[in-house]
Amino acid sequence: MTITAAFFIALLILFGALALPYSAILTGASWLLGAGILALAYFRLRAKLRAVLIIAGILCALGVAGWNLVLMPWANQPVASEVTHFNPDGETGRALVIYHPGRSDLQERAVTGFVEGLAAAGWRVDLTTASAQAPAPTGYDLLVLGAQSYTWAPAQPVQDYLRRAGDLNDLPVVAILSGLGETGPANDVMRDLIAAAGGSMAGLYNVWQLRPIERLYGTDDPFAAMRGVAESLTLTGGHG
Amino acid sequence: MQPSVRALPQLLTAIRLSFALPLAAALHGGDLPLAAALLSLAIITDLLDGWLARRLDACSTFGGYFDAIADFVLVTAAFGALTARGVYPPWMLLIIGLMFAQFILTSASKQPVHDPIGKYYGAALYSALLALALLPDWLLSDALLVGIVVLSAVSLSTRAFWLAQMSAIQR
Repeated sequence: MTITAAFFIALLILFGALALPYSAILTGASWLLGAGILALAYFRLRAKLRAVLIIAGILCALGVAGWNLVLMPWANQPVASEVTHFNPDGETGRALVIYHPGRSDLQERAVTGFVEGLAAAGWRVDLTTASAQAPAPTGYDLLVLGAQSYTWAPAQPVQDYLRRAGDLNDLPVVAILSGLGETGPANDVMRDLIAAAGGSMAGLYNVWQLRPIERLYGTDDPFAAMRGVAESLTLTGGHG
Repeated sequence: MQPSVRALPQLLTAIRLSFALPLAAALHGGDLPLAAALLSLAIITDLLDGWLARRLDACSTFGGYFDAIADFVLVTAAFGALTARGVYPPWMLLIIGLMFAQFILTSASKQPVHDPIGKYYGAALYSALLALALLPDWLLSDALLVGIVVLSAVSLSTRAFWLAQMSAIQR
């Protein structure tokens, strides 16, 4: 039984390491869990309690494995698409919108609303998904990044795009982060990434599936909310 | 012992049942701290009512069914609200309904049914809902969906396998 426990603790540690590129919190939590189970197994416990601990360890190892080997890669898989052009005669400026559609249609609704709002405000807009094929933001006056928040961080393809983009040279960047109900930590990660890439934060907007957004935008519809934001975009600030 | 004291476990169950509508409203309206508080109270009353019933020697068939019905109503209300918000697919409610129906049907059976997971099914659903209210994340909701489907499948198969074995032995 000790060998079984040791095997699953080793798995926990290994699978925790696999989560490192996505979430340091998850990695730390799985390592702590492994260490905790190991420490407990060395106490003089009743056989029943030890068996419960080992079963809990096995379930945790399976959970962490499923999370890191299936869920995270599935949700963060890049989606390649053609660039779609909106309002090609617009004179306000050129905007590039890069987004990751993600787990639900929430992000897509928010981003398409934002694109429509930009076009209505006279912007020429190029829209595509975050992948290796997405164009670099050179020659644009505004970069818009849309990502779902997964485990306290923006979707990986958008993070990868920002890292590939190189120095943004003070290019104004708007971020639209969508989530089930919590996007605070992902907002911080996005701010840091944009700052590290040399971009100028022009606005950060959140939409949620579970929490109402009416207080922020006057409507609970993410499409209408982001359309309204884009129409009145002044390239300073955001709700964050 | 006073009858009013012996009714305490059922009173706790009734209090839990009364959380159903506020919980559904909190989840649907996005008031996640309130939903988490109600779910914590539901978990505490769920643990307490059974423990008290045994302590007070007040276990009864009615109490057992009342407890299960209160759990079913509360969990269905919560998952119904999450389904209406587009977090979970409608078939999730079917699974919960099916689990409750099989629990009632197999509980009525004269044979004792071996289901090591079914005993913790309600607690698992409450924990899943509490986790989601405390950490509202897409991937967590997906992981919980998978977990609930697996748990339901294992519980159903265990009960079916046990009943089939018992029937074969009797024959």
